[in-house]
Amino acid sequence: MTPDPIPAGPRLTFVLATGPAVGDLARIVALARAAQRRHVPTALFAMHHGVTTLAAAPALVAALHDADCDVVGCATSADQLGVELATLAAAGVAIGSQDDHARLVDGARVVAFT
Amino acid sequence: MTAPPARAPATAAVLIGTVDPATADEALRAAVGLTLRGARVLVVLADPTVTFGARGARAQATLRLFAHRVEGSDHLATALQATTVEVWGPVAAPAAPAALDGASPHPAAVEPPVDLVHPVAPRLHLVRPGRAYPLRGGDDLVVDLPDRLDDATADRLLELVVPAGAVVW
Repeated sequence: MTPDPIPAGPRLTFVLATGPAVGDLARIVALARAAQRRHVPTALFAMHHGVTTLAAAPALVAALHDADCDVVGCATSADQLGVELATLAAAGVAIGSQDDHARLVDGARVVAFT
Repeated sequence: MTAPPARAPATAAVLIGTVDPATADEALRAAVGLTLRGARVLVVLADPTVTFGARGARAQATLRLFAHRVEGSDHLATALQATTVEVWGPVAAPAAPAALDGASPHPAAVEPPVDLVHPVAPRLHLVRPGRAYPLRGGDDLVVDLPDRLDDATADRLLELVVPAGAVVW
């Protein structure tokens, strides 16, 4: 049975800063899918080890896109950690900055896996 | 024509529990980032032994230059009333001061500044495996996150998260 939609409201923004071993990206995918079922818009901003996690898990990034979740990765973090921007872009990650962090958090409900 | 009501300025808190200097530097860079759309930011250094590199030192200086606050763990409860809370690394419960004769062993309540009052109470806290929610008592809702979220659990969590977000420990 399809859950009832939650009345339109603020976007739900996830922040990801942890590495692949923590398992937070899979949690975010599950929540983003739940949000899609309820018609709640979502976005993800990844920085620090979060960009490594995105680069290492293109299937989970694809699952986020399937859930209509916008995915942005911090270029500075990628540079610091040696993550190729082309790898992120190929996975469908938009390359962004701390301004995207502020933009996606502004006015949103935030769940930060940091 | 009437102007739309002004939205209250957003507030954000960054709790730094990690003692890894590179991660602490990134947490401070995140704090600076959160200011870029006008949010007032409070950084809490939950572990007084944390050290920072040059980038972290610059970020702290930037925050203080623009009147954002960088405080110790005695401001933890205040930080949790911000609209957005990022917890970077495990945060231990703040130590209670030693009781003197006739004195309360509990720290005095910190009155939050007006612009740090969270819009929804009780606040939702999601606790990952191996982590702990450091503040006990109060009305906040504390939920242990499983290793894997199935659809039914994610649906139930979403109901709790959508009204005001959550603090993840």
